[in-house]
Amino acid sequence: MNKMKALLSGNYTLIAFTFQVFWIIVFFLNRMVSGDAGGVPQFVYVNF
Amino acid sequence: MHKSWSEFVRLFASSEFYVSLPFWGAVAIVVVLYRLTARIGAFRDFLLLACSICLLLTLPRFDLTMLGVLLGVCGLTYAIARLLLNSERWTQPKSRQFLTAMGISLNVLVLAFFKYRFFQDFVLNRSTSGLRGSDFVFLIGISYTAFRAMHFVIEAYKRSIQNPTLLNFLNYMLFFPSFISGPIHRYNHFCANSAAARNSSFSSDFKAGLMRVVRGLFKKTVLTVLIFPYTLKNLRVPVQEMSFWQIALGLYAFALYLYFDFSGYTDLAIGTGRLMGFVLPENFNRPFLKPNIQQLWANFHISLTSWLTDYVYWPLSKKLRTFDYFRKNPIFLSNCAIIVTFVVCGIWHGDTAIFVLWGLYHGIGLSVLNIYQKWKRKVRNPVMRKYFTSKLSYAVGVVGTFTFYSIGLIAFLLSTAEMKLLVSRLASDLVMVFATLI
Repeated sequence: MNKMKALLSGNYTLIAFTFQVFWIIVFFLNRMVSGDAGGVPQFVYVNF
Repeated sequence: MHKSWSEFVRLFASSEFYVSLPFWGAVAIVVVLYRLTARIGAFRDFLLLACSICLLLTLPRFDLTMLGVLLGVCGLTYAIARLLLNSERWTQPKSRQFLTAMGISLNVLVLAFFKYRFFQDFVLNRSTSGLRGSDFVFLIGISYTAFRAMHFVIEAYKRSIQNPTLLNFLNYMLFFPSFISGPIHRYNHFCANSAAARNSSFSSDFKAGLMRVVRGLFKKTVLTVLIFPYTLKNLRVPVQEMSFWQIALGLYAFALYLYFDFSGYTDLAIGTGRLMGFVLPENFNRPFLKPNIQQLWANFHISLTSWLTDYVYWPLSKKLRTFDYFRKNPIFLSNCAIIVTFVVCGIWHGDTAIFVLWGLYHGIGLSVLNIYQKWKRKVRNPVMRKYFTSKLSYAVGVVGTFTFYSIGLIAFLLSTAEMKLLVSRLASDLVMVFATLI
């Protein structure tokens, strides 16, 4: 258990990076296939 | 199939900042060119300016006319700053103050014209010329560039800027990663970064920049997409028919959506800057995990709050201290300065009275906190003192602060009519609760 913990904390950055890239690709592909997510407005702070 | 193909074409054909493939292709070319010319000082600066202008011209509603207007304002601002820094004719305090006021007024007027519909309508005499409201001329990024320009003039007045060049100033004003939505970085910091970028290590910058870009894309393309359907405007229930929990969920979701969208944008700006060797200032530091509204604002849109602190709060406090009454009541002085600063913050956010109310709401919230903290320091009861330092107190503070902030976002979400409906709805709910209790 401790080894697992050490492994996770030692590679936290890499794990988080991989996790984020994976979900970006999934959402990107989903957006291409369904086009559903295109309705989310971008840069809400731009008009302020 | 048709939908997916059109989406595919849209992603490849558009140049939308930070979310389209052509944009990232252009960024890759800029980074390579900028890195290759890292040691050729002036050429590198010209190249950066040319690349920034080319990328900005791909923005919607930003054409050559808008670029011309912006360059004109930059030129005037720079000329005023140069006079303040070098000219022997402008040594008298009064004349220097006049010149500084001119520089600030110029940028305030440009900001007001391109940001506030009522002011533009008034200047162009639209009510009599019969033009429609949709003819509003919007200059993208003006909220941020105007604040950068005012900072430059004020620092020139204080003589804290050393030998600025027009090229450096234009690069500072038009730096494409931070142009649209900040951070509002400072001129000296930008110049120091520009000089340091010449010798920075590409491998470490690339790694840090890439990590940051991925984090920003994750927030913008994954988290905001997940949260957006739950925000108040998207619940597809009329405001007056919403239950208390729907309103609470809608407001919390909007607060998170706003945070992930904006901080995601900041991550992308910081990451892109880092790929080129620039270290832009941080704009967020876990603001929704702070136990009071003062700490939330110290960690939310940091570059804006620090700008307002430096150029509104402190000068106003200094001025108020010249009055006896304020000097004898420091908490009152501080509260007045806070309220005025947040009203300015509200006006910066929008042109309707609701934004002034939003600023007042936060200003009064911070003032109440100020008084509460003064009272807290005087408490001697050991049980109370133990509670103040406990994790429970911290957790209550975090939830209370997040709720306070989320309620304030009603100003960004609802029209005046919808707000009236919501208030009457909540008032009738409260009456019902009291009636049940009695």
